[in-house]
Amino acid sequence: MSLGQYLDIFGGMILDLLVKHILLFLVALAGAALAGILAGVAVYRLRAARFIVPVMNVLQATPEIVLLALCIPFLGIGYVGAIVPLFIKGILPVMQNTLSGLRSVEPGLKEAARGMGMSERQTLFRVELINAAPVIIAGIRVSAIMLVSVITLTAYIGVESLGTLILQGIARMDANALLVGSGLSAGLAIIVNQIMILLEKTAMRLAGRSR
Amino acid sequence: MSETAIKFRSVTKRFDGTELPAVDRLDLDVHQGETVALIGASGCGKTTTLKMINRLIDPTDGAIMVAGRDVRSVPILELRRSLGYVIQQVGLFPHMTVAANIAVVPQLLGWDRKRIAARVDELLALVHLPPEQYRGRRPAELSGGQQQRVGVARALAADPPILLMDEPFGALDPITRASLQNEVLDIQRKLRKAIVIVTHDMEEAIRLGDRIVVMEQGRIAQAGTPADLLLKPATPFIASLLGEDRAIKLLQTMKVASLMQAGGEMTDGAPGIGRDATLHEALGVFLSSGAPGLTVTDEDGKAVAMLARDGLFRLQSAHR
Repeated sequence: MSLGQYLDIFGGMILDLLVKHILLFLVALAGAALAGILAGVAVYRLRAARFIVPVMNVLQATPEIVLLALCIPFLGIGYVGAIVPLFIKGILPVMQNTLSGLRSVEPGLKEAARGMGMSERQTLFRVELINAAPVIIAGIRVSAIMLVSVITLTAYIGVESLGTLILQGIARMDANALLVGSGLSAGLAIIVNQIMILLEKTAMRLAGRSR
Repeated sequence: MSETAIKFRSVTKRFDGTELPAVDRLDLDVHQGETVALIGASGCGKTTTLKMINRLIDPTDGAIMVAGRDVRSVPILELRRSLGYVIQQVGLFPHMTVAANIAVVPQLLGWDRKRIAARVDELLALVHLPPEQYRGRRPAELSGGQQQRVGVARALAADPPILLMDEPFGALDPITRASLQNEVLDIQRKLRKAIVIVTHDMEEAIRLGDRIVVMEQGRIAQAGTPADLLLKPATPFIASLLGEDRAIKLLQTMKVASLMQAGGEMTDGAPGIGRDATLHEALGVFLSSGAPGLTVTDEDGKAVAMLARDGLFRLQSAHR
């Protein structure tokens, strides 16, 4: 079967898998970004939250496939079992960048904010997070690129994504399925990267960093 | 003396893990309308002293009163919003426009939009930045000197009676620094704040300070008017801070009017000098003309008195 015939016959299914892949990606990324920023702020502000860093480091060192497998006994196979381990993997880059972004905000800005009578919360939201935003978004970009390709692995536990095509391709020695599955995954990664770079630049401009 | 704006009563600050206190039983009064310059080597406690006023640092012992109230009895955010604060790094928020930066404290205080906008324009005009040209700019689009002008405007935004300045012009080139110092003198003449300025630059302390407080190891080594210090430095260290040319600096702090003799012998053809000129400028005229006396003129250029060269040389011994 030529690639053209393959696309003709399976076009609908491919599109369906692509949409599912993107949805999975968006949910995992949104969760990871939110949790990562919260964890970063918590570690930055609260001494008691420092334990999060070593825990996240261990989780980060665990291969995705192991994490997926470890989650099966607790979460079963299916969407929850697929999204949770991915989301966990996505947190660390965001958390690390949130933390280093907040720590690298110019001390003069923090002192001016405090000295003028901003509360801790006002300082965080009006000064620190905004000025750390470009670094935080860079962390989200790292997460996004990783997640968009790692999501193919969820096919192993029966959750449909572009990974399904790749698995089919391997099982049936089908070059077309392999080509389409991996090609689309790679294309998505490139697009996501470009979008995030654009966001980063916007944030830089809003933070008054570019001229 | 006018009312006391800031009072230090036996204030001590000890930082954890250090043996000697950073500030040691400090007593100091700052009056309304007065500029006090805190000066000393780094680590002498001058910045710690300043930051205890707006409670960026809390004292270990003793009490600080602002406008008659113990700073610990005022809610901390309210205290800070009521004190103008200018820092060396300027600390303008890069994501906000010049106008938004100046508006920070009024906004925290809940002023309405119209009042804030009017105040921002008024302050920009005060620091000589035309509002229509500057209010919409970002800090990155301003020079260092312009940024600190905005920094000063921001500190004055809610019209605080007290202005705290932490080495405000230390990062600026000498020409820009001098023009900002003049601006502060101007503003102070108009607004009569109580200003506490921390500096390591004796020239700055002499120019801006009504009183200079020299600190050494957390204590006051000497406090007095610039003329007091220049005439009688209490220790060799203070003398070295003031410099070998302190006699000349003294002349900079004094006006011709303070030494002229009304109705003294007027010599025809003697060079003239305005009575508001400094004695330092008069010395320059003596040096370049070689004349033994100068004709002192008033604002309209009318001769009103004379200034004898010998008077300059008697100045030092007269005060001893």
